[in-house]
Amino acid sequence: MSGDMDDILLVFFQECEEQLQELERGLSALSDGESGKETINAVFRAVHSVKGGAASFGLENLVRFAHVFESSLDGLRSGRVAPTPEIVKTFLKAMDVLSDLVAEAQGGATVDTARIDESRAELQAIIGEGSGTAGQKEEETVPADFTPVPVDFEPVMADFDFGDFGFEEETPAEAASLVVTFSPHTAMYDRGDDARNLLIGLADVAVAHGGASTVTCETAALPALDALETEKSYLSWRVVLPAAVPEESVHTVFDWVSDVCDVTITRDGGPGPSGGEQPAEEQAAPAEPEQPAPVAEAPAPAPVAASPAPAPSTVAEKIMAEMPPAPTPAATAPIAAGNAAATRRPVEQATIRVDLHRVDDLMDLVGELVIAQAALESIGQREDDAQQEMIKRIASMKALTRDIQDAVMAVRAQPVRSVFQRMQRVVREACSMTSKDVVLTLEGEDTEVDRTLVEKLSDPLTHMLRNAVDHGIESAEARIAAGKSPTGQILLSAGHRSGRILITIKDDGGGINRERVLATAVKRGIIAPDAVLTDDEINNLIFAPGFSTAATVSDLSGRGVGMDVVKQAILGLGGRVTISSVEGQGTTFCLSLPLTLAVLDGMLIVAAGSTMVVPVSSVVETMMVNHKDIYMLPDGANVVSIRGACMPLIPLASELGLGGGGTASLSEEDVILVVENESGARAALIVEDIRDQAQVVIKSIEKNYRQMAGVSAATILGDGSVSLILDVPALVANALGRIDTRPSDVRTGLAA
Amino acid sequence: MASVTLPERLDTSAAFALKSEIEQAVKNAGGEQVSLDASGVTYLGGLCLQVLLASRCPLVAPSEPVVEAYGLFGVSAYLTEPLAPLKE
Repeated sequence: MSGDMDDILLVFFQECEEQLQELERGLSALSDGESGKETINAVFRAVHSVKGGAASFGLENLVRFAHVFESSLDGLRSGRVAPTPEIVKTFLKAMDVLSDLVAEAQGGATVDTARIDESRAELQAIIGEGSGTAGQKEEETVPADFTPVPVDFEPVMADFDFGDFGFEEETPAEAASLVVTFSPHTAMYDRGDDARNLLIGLADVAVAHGGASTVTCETAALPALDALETEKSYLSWRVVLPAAVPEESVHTVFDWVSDVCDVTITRDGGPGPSGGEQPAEEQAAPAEPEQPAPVAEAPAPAPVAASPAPAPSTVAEKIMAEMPPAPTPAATAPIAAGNAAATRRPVEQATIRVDLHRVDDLMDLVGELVIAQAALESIGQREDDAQQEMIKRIASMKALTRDIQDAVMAVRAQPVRSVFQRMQRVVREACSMTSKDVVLTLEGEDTEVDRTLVEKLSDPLTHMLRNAVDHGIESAEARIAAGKSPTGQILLSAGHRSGRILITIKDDGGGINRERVLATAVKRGIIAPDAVLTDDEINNLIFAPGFSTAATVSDLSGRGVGMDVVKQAILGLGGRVTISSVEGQGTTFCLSLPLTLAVLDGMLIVAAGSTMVVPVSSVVETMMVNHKDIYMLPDGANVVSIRGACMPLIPLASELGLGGGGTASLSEEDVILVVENESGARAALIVEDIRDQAQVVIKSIEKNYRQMAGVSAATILGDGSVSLILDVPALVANALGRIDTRPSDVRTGLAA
Repeated sequence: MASVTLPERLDTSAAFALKSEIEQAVKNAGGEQVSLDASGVTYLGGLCLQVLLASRCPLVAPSEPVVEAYGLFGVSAYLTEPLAPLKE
């Protein structure tokens, strides 16, 4: 039984996640001044769904907060409150609290009650502001007796609420009220659910659509006390909902119990509450105020309700509150273990939602594969010119395999939106901690990347955005003094570029103060005091372990581990970070990541007699060497002039330490590969031969061996031999560093 | 008149105990009317509601949560007037 429950809870939390994303999207739209009815309704729906779901699981903290949130949004929906920037800000803050409460219910860190209270007070201020006469709703501070939206009493409803709701046009004028009858099975109580949760859900739905529910209880099946089996369900209910209620929202209420509860939903003839219900009038009123009850007194469902109301000791709570906003589950585990919630924490969800058509495409391709396989088989049985036929079939098989691979990748692909939207919150929190005003603009959220990448991007991006707010953007005074708008701008964008995904974080802050960076690096012993570095190298110092320029260590960033960790995380994903910074104008971080972690198109080349793979995406062109185009620089390095452009020449074999006499032994047969890194810098690789082009499966060399300079991974070729995949950007960076006339020893550490 | 003081939480797990307690009280009262003191109840779930209704005993001083719960369950009418005895 508890297994079932966990599954259902898991679904609930997944839906919460989606609703929260929806909420975030809606609120962002609102803050951009897009206050259309659709947007507001979407926001309202999102909060309402979270509340509804939470109520059926007895997650009282969540319900209580969601309810206040919903009520305040209602003011917005009915036009009593205008979505001014301040109000949207309050909503955004409330959303953060709400998502933390969801996380808490999921077994995450306990949310600081002061924060909840603060946010709730702000929401209540909005409710108070919007409702004027209905100011009594301030009672909601005491959740036990909060009376939700004053729609339950007919006169009040007529006064202001009803006419304002944005749903009229969705409802046919002569709509009939919705009659829901349900009788819970005994199994529903077994499962820990309770009929009252369903009734609360229905009352909620009614309120959300500007009416009240009318409940009648069918007691005929109830036996005498001595014949009564306490765990058996005897009662059934008939609930009349306002005509405006769509059937779907009723289905939502019964979603969790559809298998253990008989439900019928019918439209009753005639508008308005059905006249047949005798006790309708008197019941409608108490029905609604009851709604917040679970909030006040954790509802019955034993197995579920027992856990979500953890009462952590104040110490634990304090620790939680002081932890960074996104602690890993592992980090909180020892503390959370104390309360029952920990036992309920679902395993990290290992499912994805995929568009059906993508799965269909995949299915089609697999069908084709079966046909191709059959064709190959029939060739094997034939005698005449089988060879040629075979080659033809294998070619089509190859195309098919590639299509299937693309289709599988498409299934795994997810838009980066989910991560990007989380960043809004990171920036918001960073802003409030540093009292700066920063607007984060997102671009290219629809860019799709492999799911594993999406998840792993979250931490590095969080670090980088915090850094951008904390160190990048100057204080408002400094900005005004520099002639900029007091509001800082950060742009977070994603896009595809030559087979990789490029993520840029651009701020319009003060830029990197290179002098200070250099001074700090010398002070920390990261570089020698007499080292001479290029601007780029100085910029890269901020990724050095143990580096932190902040004069004082702030709460937010500046522990001196952040950027180092970021770089490691990105490198671990096969990506790279580059920085460009203009003093006084801002800093841009570019993360370049592989589209997939599994397969790449490679060019098979030969260097020092062994076959290696160069990612095709980084090869610009190939050509034969012409000796008279090669020039030697004073320090002994070579450059090659290709159509007038000079670029460093890299003899691959000697670069990788595989012998070979460098450029001197350049033979006429050698081939030049012009390669490019993501920032557009080019170099010419000298290789002995180009063998083939093939798709190769990436095998991590770091995991199986160790990191190697100039090599990003390894692969197994068709003939079974192991081959290295070259890290072109690293080679290019290294070579570009080398044509500098400065000593290269300071650089080697940075080039990776 | 005999009286049973109802416990604070009448949730699913409390249903069985509630039934035994009321049955015991009815037996002890020997035909006398047993009333249920619901003044301290803070939570009432579906299963306990069944027990309360089935007992056909009048409620005394129902607490606010009980009144609300009866409203929610659509049985407010039985707050003052217990369920009619079974016609057997």
